[in-house]
Amino acid sequence: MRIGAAESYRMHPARTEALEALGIRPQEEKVGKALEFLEKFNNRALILFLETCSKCGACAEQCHSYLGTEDPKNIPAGRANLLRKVYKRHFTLAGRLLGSLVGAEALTEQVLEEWYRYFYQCTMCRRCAVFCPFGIDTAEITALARQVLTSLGMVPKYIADVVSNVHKHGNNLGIPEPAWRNSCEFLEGEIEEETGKEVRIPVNEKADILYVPPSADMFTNADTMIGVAKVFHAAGADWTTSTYASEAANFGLFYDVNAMKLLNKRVVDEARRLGAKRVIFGECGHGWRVAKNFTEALNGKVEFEIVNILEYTTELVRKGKIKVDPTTNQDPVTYHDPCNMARGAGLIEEPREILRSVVQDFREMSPNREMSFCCGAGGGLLTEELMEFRMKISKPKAESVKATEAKILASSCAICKAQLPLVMDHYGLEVKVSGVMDLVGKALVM
Amino acid sequence: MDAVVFVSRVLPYVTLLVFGAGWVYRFFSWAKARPPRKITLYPVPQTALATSANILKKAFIFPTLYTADKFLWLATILFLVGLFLSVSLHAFINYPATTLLPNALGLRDLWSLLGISTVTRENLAHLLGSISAILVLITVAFFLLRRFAIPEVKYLSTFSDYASLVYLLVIISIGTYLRLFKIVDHGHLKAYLASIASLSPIAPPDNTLFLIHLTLAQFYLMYLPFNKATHSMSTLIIQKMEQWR
Repeated sequence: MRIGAAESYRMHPARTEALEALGIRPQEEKVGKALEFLEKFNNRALILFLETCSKCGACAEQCHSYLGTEDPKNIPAGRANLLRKVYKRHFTLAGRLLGSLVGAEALTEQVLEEWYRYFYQCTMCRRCAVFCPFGIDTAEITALARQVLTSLGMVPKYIADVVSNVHKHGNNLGIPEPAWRNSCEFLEGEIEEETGKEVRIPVNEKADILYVPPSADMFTNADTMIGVAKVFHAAGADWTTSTYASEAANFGLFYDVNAMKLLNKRVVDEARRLGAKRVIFGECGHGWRVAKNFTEALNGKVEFEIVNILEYTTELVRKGKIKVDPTTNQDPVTYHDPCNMARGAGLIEEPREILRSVVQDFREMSPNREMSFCCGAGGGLLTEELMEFRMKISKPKAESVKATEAKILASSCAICKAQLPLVMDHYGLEVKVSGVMDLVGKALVM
Repeated sequence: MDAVVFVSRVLPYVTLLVFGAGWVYRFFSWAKARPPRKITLYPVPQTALATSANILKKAFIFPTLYTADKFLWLATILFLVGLFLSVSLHAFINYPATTLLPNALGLRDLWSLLGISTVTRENLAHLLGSISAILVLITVAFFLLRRFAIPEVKYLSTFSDYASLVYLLVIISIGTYLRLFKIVDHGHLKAYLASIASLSPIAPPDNTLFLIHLTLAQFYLMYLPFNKATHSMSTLIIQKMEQWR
């Protein structure tokens, strides 16, 4: 344990102009504003989380962020303490009277800077909540602290850039409509070359199914998109992609509820405009958690079904509506549960069911399912300036993968799929990272 | 009014009042707070019955703590069982399951039905009370020790965390001593506690250590609704929120 060991890891902050474009006004008098915000924030879960912790320390060894940095401010309970000390000092009688004896500390600019550094070293993976004997979910505490920072104008550049891309172009990568159409045509060409079949990737059409992929599937994870297109084709589905809602991810979850609502609304509006009966989300962990668990709270009841591509594909495989040949995927495959898919949204058995039918040798890693370690880049931390930090904290995951001796590491989240190849490389593992749908695409008999 | 009378015949009612009002205040502060978003922690059972069972399992057996830290898990379970037994054995060994229920059915108490004599029963209660007191003493000492010995836990702890454990340790040490060496007549203790409950308090057992034990315990009970020991209740609410289907 080394106090302050991770202090140097700090996300580049967004500039004022970038923030203003997102409707965030940086505040001069930060401390007063933050306290004003906290006073109004009266959430049952947060109060219970802050009051309940007995500081038993059981969370320490379960957090990859602490294991990787050895900085006790990255112990989930230690991270929560950064907020708890302020809550105690300003909002409890004991804290006002007894101060540091009960762990209370006044909010200052330095404390806010400490928040900015350490709350952006939490990947919001919620593994601590699984192991906490009381179920304290530090990701919710992180979300609150980040929301306070956002209200002050303290937002990382990476997150602000991604969200403004969605506002401008509909997706995280900032792919404009012509480029999106080009990519779809290119992928159609790839499929035709491989299978000789004419498979369409429709854009902005009225259809029963609106498919919302993470935009990375258009470029870096093109095989995932190819797999999805082939499955829709084989199932005879009436589907489309959209250039207005071309992003499954929702970075609002990582910094701002208002942004989360606006990004979610794009999908809801577009589904209605295109008359979709079903919105199917692609391989994006946190995006799926927002869509599944928060859509109704954010934008009201919807008349269409919200489904994940893995649920959809599981049904097709189960009912024999698509034919797959596992001998096309002979290398041993293991599966990394994305935090937001498994703990966050309960998509745990479906990817396993799919993998068992499309690959010959499926191996579980340990720990797995809701106990799986995070890839090390969730929570909006997939950024260059945190590279050293990201590699350090992904060690438990690398060890889990190594022990399986698998050659392919499948996962179902674009962030995991961007992080894991770097992790494999960093820890000297010759393992190829793949989406689940990539493997389905390869095994599909057309 | 002399100090003994105050501590043994007046303070108990203040304690009950503060303890009760404290819990009401706590529950009220939780109830009036805004409900959280859907923070389900999957996997979750699909039926109401299975959900309730899961909540109870997580709140009372902490299966994931077992996975994370078997030693801490064992200590916690022993502490809770020991605490439950040693607190109830102050007075309640006869009630209600062993006496009231059989009486209501027109039977004598359970012990007589089983052919266990009063003397044996008292001896059994003494044995169980002694074992549970020692269990609580050892586990609380362990909780305190690990707060000092494990760097991460030490880092997380504040003065109040140590202080409340030390305070508990003092109460429990005195209690264990009184129990093990039969310093206080247990019949008298039960009669005294029953008299408090019936609002006509009699004189307590006349022993200085007992009076210190009684006083310290009352202050702890008054403090309990205002410290993190409320996790006995809050954990149920948290588990309920996280099992939202």
